[in-house]
Amino acid sequence: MSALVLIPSPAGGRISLVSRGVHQGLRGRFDADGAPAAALRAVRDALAADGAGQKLAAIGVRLLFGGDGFPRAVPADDDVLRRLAALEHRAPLHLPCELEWVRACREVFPDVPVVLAFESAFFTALPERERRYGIDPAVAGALAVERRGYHGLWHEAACAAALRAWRAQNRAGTPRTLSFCWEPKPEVAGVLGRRPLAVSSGATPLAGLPGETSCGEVDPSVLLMLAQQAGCGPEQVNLLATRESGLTALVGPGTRWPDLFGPDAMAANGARGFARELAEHRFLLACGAATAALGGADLLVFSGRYAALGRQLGPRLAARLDFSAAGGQPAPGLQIVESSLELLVARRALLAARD
Amino acid sequence: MNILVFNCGSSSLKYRLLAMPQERELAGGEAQRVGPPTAEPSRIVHRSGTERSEHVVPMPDHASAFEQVMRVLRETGGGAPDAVGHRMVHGGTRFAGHALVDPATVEALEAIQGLAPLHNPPATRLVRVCRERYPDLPQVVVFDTAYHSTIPASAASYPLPRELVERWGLRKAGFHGTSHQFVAAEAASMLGIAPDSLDAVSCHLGSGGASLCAIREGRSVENTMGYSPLPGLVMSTRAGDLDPAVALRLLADAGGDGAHVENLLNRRSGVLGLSGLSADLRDVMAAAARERGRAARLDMTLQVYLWRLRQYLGAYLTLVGTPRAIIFTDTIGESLPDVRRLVCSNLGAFGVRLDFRRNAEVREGPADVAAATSAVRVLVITTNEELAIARAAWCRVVPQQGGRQAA
Repeated sequence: MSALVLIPSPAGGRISLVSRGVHQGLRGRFDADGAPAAALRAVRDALAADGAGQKLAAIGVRLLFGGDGFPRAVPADDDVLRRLAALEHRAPLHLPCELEWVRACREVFPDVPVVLAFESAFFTALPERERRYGIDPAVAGALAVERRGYHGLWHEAACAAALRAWRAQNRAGTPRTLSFCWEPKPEVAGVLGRRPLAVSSGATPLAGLPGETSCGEVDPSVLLMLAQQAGCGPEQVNLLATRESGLTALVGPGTRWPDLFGPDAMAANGARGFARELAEHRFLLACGAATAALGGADLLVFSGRYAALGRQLGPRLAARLDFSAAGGQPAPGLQIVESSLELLVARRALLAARD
Repeated sequence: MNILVFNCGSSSLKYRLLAMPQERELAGGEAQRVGPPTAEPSRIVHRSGTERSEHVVPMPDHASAFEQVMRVLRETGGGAPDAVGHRMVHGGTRFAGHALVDPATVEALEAIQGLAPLHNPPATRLVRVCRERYPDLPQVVVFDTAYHSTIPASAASYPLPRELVERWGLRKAGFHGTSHQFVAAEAASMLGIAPDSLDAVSCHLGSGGASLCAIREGRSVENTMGYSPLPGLVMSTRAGDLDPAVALRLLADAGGDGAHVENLLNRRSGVLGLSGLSADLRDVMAAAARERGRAARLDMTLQVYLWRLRQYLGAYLTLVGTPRAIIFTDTIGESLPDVRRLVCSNLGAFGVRLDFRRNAEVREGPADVAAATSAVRVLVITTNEELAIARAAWCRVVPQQGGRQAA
C-alpha cells in the first residue's frame, strides 16, 4: 500500500511517495508561488505514468496545528475542513496555506482518502498548568495564547518506541521519557508513557530552545526594547529573532546542528564551540526541568531529522542527569529513533484510511 | 565603623545603621510614602535599640527623604555613619562588582538608569545627593547584578544578531544577587563548609519579585531573571517567562505603546493577573483553602506558580550537578511551608527528601527541613540584604581607609 505524503508550509512544501514503509520514487519540493492544484495535477500525471497512482491508498497531509478538537489523525471531510477553517486565527501563518493544499488534494484526487496528521495532536493532553502563562486569562484568551508543542508526530513515535523497548525489557510501571526531538528548531518534552506533561516550546515556534535560525527563549523585554528603541517595528524584530538568530547569529548563516554536534564537530572551538556550549546549556536545563515535571527520568530518546546527533550529545546529557551518588536516579537510558517525518505521516494516513 | 545602608524603593527609603565588623544594628527604619502626596502623610518609622518612634514629615522626593533620615538619626542619637552603602538593582555591563563612589561612578550610574527604570533612578539620585551633602563620607554602591557577573557567557548570552547584542549590551544580568549571595554564605556556615565549596540552588521567593539562582563553588552560574527582572518565575505582578513573540504581538495590538505592554507584563500579570484577586500568593492560598476546590481560577494560579518553580528547580539542580542544598528565603520561601512541600515533594530522583513534619513547623530561618536521609539539605534561611550590603561596603571602604592612614 502506498501513501502520498504532503508537508506544506508557507514557504512551499515537500511531497513524497511512501510504499511499504519506505520512500519510493517520487520525492519533490514545491515553492510558495505555484498553485497547489496545478502542482498536484502534475504529481497525479507523474504517478499515472509510473503506474503508481492506482495503488495509492491514502494521502497524508501534515498539519502543524489542529487545536484540542483533533487529538488524532482524521480523514478530511467538509465538516473537518470547516472546523479547521474556524481555527485559522490560531495559526495564521500555517493553517490557511495548509488547508489550501488539503482542498487541492481532495479536488485532484477525489477517490483517495486525504488524512490529516496533526503535530498538535500529541499535545492535546498537555496539562493546563503547563499551557498557561503568568498573565490574565482574559488577555491570554483574547490572543489565544498558550504553550504548546510543535513536533508531536516525532514525540509520539519516539515515546511509542520507548514503550516498546520498556516492555521488551519486562520493566514495570510507565516509563518517564525525556523526548528530545532534534529538528532545526529542537524541542524537549517530558512524557509519562504517552502523555506529555511538559514541553520546552511556547505559544509560537519562536520560544523554547534555540534553533538554527531562531533565538528561542529570550527575555521578552529585550525584544520589546529593540522594537521601541532600535528603530525596528515588532514585525521586523520578529523576523530578526526567527530568521537571523540562533546558530546563524552565533556562527554564521547556513550553520546546522551537525556542524556543532556531528561526530567530527565535537572538538570544534571558536564560534562553533561557543554555540555548542550555549546550546548544550539550554538543552540541559530543558531536560532538568522535564525531569522535575516527571518526578524522574528513565529514558532519554532522540528523534527528528538530527536524531543521530544524540549519539554524541546523549551520553553527555545522561551523565548530567545521573543523581545516583546523591541517592537519586541513575542516568536515564538512551535511545535513538531514526525515521523521517514523511514515513511517520504515511503510517498515520494508512492507519486512518484503513479504519 | 558605622555603615549606613540605604535600600531605595520607588516610594520608600529603607535604612539601617550597622556597626561593622561586629554586624550590630544601631538604628534602622523606613521612610514611607516618599513622593507626591497620598491619602496618608509621609512618615519615617524609626527604631533605635528598643526605642520606636514615628516622624511625620513631608518628603516629596528621595533627596528630602535622605535629609530627613539623617536628621532623625542625629536627633535620636543612634550614631553617625562613617560610610554609606547603597543598594542598586542594576549595574549593567559597566559594573561587574561593587563600586566606590566618585564623580565618574555617578556619571556612569546616570548613564545606565534606563536598565531598571523603577529602581535605579531614585537610588542614583540618592547617591548624588548624598555625595553633594557629605562629600567626605565614603559611599559604596552594591549592585544586585554583581553576584551574577560569574554566570558563564554561554548561559548569559542571547543568540541574537551580534550587532544588536553589542550595540545594546544584551545579556542576562540576573537579579536578587545580594540576597542569593547572603543566604549562600549562611548555608555554607550551616553546613560547616567553606562558602566557595557550596553547590546549591537558592530560591529567593519574595512577596513581590522572585528568582532562583544556581550556585557552584559559591558562585552564581545561573539566574531565572534576565536582561530585566521580567522573565523566570511567576511573580506577584510580573508574568515571568513569556513567549517573546507574544510580547511583540501585545506591542503591535497596543499600537506600539511599549509603556502599556511593560505595565501589563510587569504590574498586572503574575499572581495578580492569574488570580484576579491579589498579587500576594498568601492571599490566594488562603482564599483557595477557604473555597476548597470551588475556586478553579485560584487553584490554577497556585498550580501555575508552583509548576514553574518546580521545573526551574529541577533545571538548576541538574545544572549544579552535586547540590548540597536547596535554600528557601524571603517572605514566601520562609513563611509558606506548603510552597516548599508542594515544590519539593517527589523530587527523590534528585536526592531531595523533605521532612514533612519539620517543614510544616518552620516559618522562618534558620532551619533544615530535609529528611535525615536526604543527600540534599533543604534549608530555610532569612535573608538580610542590608547586612549583606554593609559587609560589601565594609570590604570596599576599609582598604581605602587603610590606604589613607598609611599615607
